[in-house]
Amino acid sequence: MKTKKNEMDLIFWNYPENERIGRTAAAVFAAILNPTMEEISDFKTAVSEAITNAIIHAYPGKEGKIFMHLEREGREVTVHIRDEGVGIADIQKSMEPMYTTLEEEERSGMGFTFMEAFSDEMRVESEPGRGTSVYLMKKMGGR
Amino acid sequence: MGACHVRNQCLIIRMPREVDHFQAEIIRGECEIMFFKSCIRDVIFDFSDTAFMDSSGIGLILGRMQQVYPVEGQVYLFGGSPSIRKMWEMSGLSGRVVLLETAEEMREVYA
Repeated sequence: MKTKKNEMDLIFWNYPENERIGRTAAAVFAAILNPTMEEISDFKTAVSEAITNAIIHAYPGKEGKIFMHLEREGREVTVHIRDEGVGIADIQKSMEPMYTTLEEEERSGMGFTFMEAFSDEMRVESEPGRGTSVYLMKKMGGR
Repeated sequence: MGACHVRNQCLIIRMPREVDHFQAEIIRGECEIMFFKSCIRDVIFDFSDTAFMDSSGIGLILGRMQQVYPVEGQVYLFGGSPSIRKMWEMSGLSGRVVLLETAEEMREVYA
C-alpha cells in the first residue's frame, strides 16, 4: 500500500500507567502499513522499552514530561522518544545486556538489548543533566 | 489482586494480557505477599493469556528465580507467543528454567 508521509506527536507525564498509552498509540500509528502480528509485537516491545526507560530513569522522584514523535513514510516507521531528565552518563555501559542501575527494583537490564533486537535501527543520544533521546526505526509489511 | 495462587508449595502466577513495568510491579507485590504467607518452593508463570511483554517480564522471572534458589526450587514457564519466547531465549533463561508445553505438564508440577 502506498501511503503519504505522516507525523504525530504525543506528550505525556512519566506515570507508569502511561506506558501502555504510549506504546499502543505507536502501534496504532504503525498499523496502517499492514504489519504482521510479529512485526507489530516486536515494534511495541521496542517502543515500550524506550518509554519505560524514560519513566523509571529520567526524572528520579519527580514528575516530568516524555515526548514521543512518530513518523511514517513508505514502509518505515520512526519513533523518537525524548525526555528532559537526568541523562545517561555512560551510554556504552547502559547498553550492556543485564546492566541495570536499579538493582532494588528487579529490572532485567535487557531494555537496550531488546530495543536493538526488535527494531531495524536504533540510536541513543544523551547528555547528563539535559535528557535522553532514543530513535527507533522499523520496516513494516515485509511479507 | 488474584493473579497468584499456591498449590502444593508451588506458586502459580497467571500473567496478564500485557506485561509491562506497570503490570509487573503489581504482580511482584502480589508475589511478595504469597511468599510471606505460604511455603513456596516452585513457581509457574502461566503466559497463556499474554499478548504483550517487554523486559519487565524478564525482571519478574529473574526475581522469582533468585527467590527459590536457596530452597532448590524450580521456575517453570508455560505458554508465550513467539516474540515472548524470543525474549526468554535472548535473556539466557533457557536452561535455567523449565518450559512446559502442555496444560497437562503444568498440572503434573503441582500434583
